[in-house]
Amino acid sequence: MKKTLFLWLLAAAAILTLVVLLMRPPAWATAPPGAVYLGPDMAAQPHAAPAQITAGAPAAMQVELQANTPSSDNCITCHTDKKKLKKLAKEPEEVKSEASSGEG
Amino acid sequence: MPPLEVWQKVLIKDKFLEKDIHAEVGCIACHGGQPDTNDKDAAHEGMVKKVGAVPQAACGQCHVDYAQAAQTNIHRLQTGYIDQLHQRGGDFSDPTFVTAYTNHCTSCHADCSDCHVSRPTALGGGLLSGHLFKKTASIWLTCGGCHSARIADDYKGNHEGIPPDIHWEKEGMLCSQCHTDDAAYHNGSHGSTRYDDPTAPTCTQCHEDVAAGDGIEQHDPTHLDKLACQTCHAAGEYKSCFGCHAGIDDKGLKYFTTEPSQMTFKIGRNPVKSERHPWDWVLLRHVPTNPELFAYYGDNLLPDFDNLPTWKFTTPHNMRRITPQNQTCNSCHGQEDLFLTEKDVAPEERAANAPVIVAPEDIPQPVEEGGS
Repeated sequence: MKKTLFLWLLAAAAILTLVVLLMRPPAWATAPPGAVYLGPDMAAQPHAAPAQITAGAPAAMQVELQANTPSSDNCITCHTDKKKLKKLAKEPEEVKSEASSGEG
Repeated sequence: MPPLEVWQKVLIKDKFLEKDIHAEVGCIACHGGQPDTNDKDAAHEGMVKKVGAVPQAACGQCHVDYAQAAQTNIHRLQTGYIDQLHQRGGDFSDPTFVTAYTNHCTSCHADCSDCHVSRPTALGGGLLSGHLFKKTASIWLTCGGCHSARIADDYKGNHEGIPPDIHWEKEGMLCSQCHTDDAAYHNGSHGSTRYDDPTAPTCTQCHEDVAAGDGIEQHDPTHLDKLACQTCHAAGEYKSCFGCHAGIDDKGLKYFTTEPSQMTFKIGRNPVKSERHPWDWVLLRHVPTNPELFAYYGDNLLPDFDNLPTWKFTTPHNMRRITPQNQTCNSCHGQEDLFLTEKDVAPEERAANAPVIVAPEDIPQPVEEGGS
């Protein structure tokens, strides 16, 4: 009996939470008119097309932290090794226009 | 601020791994990449360098509300730029205009990671402190990394002959001590531009005893009601920029050119008069925009350019109690050079600046000092 009651309460709480979350206005609805979101990576691409603001991911879509994410040991081993990084790290080649001049 | 060496940009501190909760989920949970290889290129395949660029994807897994709010963040969306260009007639439904904007204006975009874990792109990027997350952005590396020439240099007194802001020199105050509104930095509650922000700091929030009769002669109703605080208390000139032109060179690379910047100090009419900014007289700073900004991309892409002045309301961060213009009455009264008059404005920009230009006859006349 107690278990059934608990399950009903849990279900009610879940439904209530879902309703509250669904009632929140999407982020784009509060964006200024004409606003455009342009990601930094796009700025690096000549003649890139813009991406419109997209609705914020509803809470229901929010991904839970992955408990079984693959090991990051290899990443950490390298990125904490100063000597190795000095040897391997390379700045991405950035080609700047010779036509640019002045403060920006 | 010199850029970091490339290896420094990606070096992770032990302290991050030991003490920062963000380390607990592991690198791959946020950045992706390939776990089962020691080969650099193979390991980085599919890796997302700046996970903060899409707030929901990584930050939003835990910081749900912040990630949601960040959808309309002024730093992220650059709503200030968009608002101002829109008011000048920029058509964001025109692919040509959007291409020009995208190519040349979006490098100032900042996402979650630009403030809380990395140096901004403007400073060459790289981790702020071995991947440790900073709840409060670093004043020089983060806020000052982007707001450098027009804020940080003023504040630190980097301009020759101009002293630092007293709030820094005497009190060592950080940006966040005045700019306290957490919500405004994470969502769109500040309005389209920073001057629309109803929660933006004001001088009198701290200096609440400033009022007529406070014992300071110049704090009479006329001066207090008609002049923005900075008009009297900015310690000197601040940087104005001119003549930005943007385009694509014959190799397909983006470029911009600007004319040499100038140190200016100009008092003018208030172009943003409102309940929050009720004064008649404010300081003005020239911004680099001009009618031909996007001329490379097409004709007349800013058809309503004259809707806004190019000498804009500004609040220099070089405040002092005693300044050159407030030492005596006639340090300001009768000093035509302190005021933005028609001769200071390029002919092609006079229509845009008509609301802020001061007519010579409106410049406060010299007064007899010391007699009363």
